[in-house]
Amino acid sequence: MIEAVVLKPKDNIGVALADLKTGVEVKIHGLEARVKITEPIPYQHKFSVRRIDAGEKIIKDGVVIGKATQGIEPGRHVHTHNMTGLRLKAKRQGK
Amino acid sequence: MEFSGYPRKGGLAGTRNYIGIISNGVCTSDAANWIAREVAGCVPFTHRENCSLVSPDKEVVTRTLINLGRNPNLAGVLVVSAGCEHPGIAPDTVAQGIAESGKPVDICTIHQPGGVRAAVSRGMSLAQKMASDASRIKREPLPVSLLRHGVECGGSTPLSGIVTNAAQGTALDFVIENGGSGGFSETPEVIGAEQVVAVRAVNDEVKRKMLKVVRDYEKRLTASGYDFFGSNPDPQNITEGLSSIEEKSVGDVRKGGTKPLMEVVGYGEVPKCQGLFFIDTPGHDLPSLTGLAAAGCNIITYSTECAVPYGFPFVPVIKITAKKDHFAQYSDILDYLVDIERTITDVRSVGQELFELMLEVASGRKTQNELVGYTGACDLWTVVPMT
Repeated sequence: MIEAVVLKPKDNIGVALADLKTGVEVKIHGLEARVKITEPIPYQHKFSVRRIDAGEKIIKDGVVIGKATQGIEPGRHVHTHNMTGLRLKAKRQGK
Repeated sequence: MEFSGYPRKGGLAGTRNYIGIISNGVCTSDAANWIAREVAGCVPFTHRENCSLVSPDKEVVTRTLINLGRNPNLAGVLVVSAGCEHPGIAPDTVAQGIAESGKPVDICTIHQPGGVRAAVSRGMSLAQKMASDASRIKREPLPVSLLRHGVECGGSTPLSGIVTNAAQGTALDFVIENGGSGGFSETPEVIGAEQVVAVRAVNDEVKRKMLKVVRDYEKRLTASGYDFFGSNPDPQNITEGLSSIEEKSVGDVRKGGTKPLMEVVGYGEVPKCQGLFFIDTPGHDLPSLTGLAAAGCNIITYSTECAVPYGFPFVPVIKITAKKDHFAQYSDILDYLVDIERTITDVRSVGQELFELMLEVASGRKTQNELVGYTGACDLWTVVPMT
């Protein structure tokens, strides 16, 4: 069974194909090295496959999908709490 | 390679053989529904627009209704009109536009002596004559090159891109490899992944147009001042792990397969190309499905991880999911379960299986939403704010 996948070599996140538990050294389809999971990763969610600095771009399937809002160690859950999209941002006009 | 379809004028093919009862404006929705309900072989298309349309909506809605009527799955069309829609959506313009395709078209008008009841009765008689004539048309072997495959997605998850959309994108590749055409839509769900699509454009003009429709859509949305996070991506998308519109887009564009992009068209327009096209539509699935139908798609696949129940009035919609529990629980909504691991390791074999199901459905096998009769929802896209 494939537990996780990295879609393109330049991606810095992987996608969990199962609920990944803390401490597991997950084998990843599309990546040679295993990654040690350091917090629970829900099914389908993203996790960092290497250290990502604050402000660094998050790359999935070879495409920039946002930037890190804080430093993210390898094996961490990557979602709206530590990354944000860069597009479709409302230009708020004054009231 | 062949499927069994209905030959139409102009070298087109129907996968279904309905009479379309098209409501010209919102005022005639009930009448169109009543006529379609009472005559076997008829299906209604209704919408919420009316005589107050201004440009560009006036032109876009008019051409959308015309090109819906020209869809090869309709053997004939009855336009139901209030009679006072000029100059908003002129019923004779719509009827004339459809008639140019060579299929029988008639108009039924409510503002006539006798009012609604007389008009509906007259409409039923007209529809029954057309349905009787259409029932004499037989399916015959036709080349797969006459398939036009619309690809839709809704209820995205972080796996849609690599699983369900990869599967239907590969099925679309098979259609195109067999000489057919097809395409995808939902412009806001290309935001952030536009280069992935544009790089496949057949020439600079198509590339520029592709990038322009995405840029224009994003500009309109951001200029509104609203924050769309929570709308697109929506709460289900976010709960399941999508963190931004860009991430959703990366998955969504996989439904467009891998072939060169031949043409980009506006809403309600019909692409002229063989091969892959893109239609500028909203990400909302109902107006997007209408855009695909107006583009002449005679079969649609639809990846839906939230098990959307609706189909489309006159184009068969094959629903696919990667969620085993949904597929087991919602067996009267979903048509095909995509195997996650097999898609990741051998997407061609999954795409081929889906393509083969498409040929069966194109040849007459009914989809779940057709069997349930959940095909009534329809909507159009307009851009002018409602007053």
